[in-house]
Amino acid sequence: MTDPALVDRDVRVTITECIRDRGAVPSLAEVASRAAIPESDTADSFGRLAAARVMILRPGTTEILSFNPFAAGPTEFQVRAGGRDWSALCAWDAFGVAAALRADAVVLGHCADVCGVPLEVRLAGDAIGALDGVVMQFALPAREWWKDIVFT
Amino acid sequence: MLLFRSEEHAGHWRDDRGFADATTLSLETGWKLARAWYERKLEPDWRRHSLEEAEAVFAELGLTGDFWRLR
Repeated sequence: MTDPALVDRDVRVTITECIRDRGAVPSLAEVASRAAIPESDTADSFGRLAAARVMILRPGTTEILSFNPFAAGPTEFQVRAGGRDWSALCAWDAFGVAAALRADAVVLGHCADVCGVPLEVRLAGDAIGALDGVVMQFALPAREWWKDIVFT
Repeated sequence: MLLFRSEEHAGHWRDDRGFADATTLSLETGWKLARAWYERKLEPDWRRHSLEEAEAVFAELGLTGDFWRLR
């Protein structure tokens, strides 16, 4: 019997390869094919990786919502980095895309207050370019983040 | 974790929704936190921070107090 921990490592590394190579969060089928692991075993691994908070699955599915900080599909936070466009679930993850890619980036979002004004943050090494006064806000205390990670 | 035009706008949002404990970070601190948290996520030998390591990351950035407590 294959050690689940080894399968999980292969699956996790395959996901990262897809992100680097294609610039997108992969489907379960793509990971299974690329890693040469049966889809049922890949699905089991996805479940374990989600339980271990390595990634978030779309509710009720075995597809990735976010291999944090990289989200699948369009979100309210877009990131231009490494010559590609990326999505992130929150501002922290949007900055995290630049961090994980170790690339300069432009984060595109908007003020979450009623004004909804578009906000652009440029990240280049230690330098940050943005309108004066822009801040990031965490609504919930850290110990509550994973009670509803999608909301967080 | 959302972006706001200013502390004032963050305060409006916080008050309107009743998130009395919400806290804001400067973009500089947010960028440092993102780098500490995610810089190795695509590395093959990445592993998730332990609770102790995560708390140390917060502390190193001056993020202390009950809001940043993980247990």
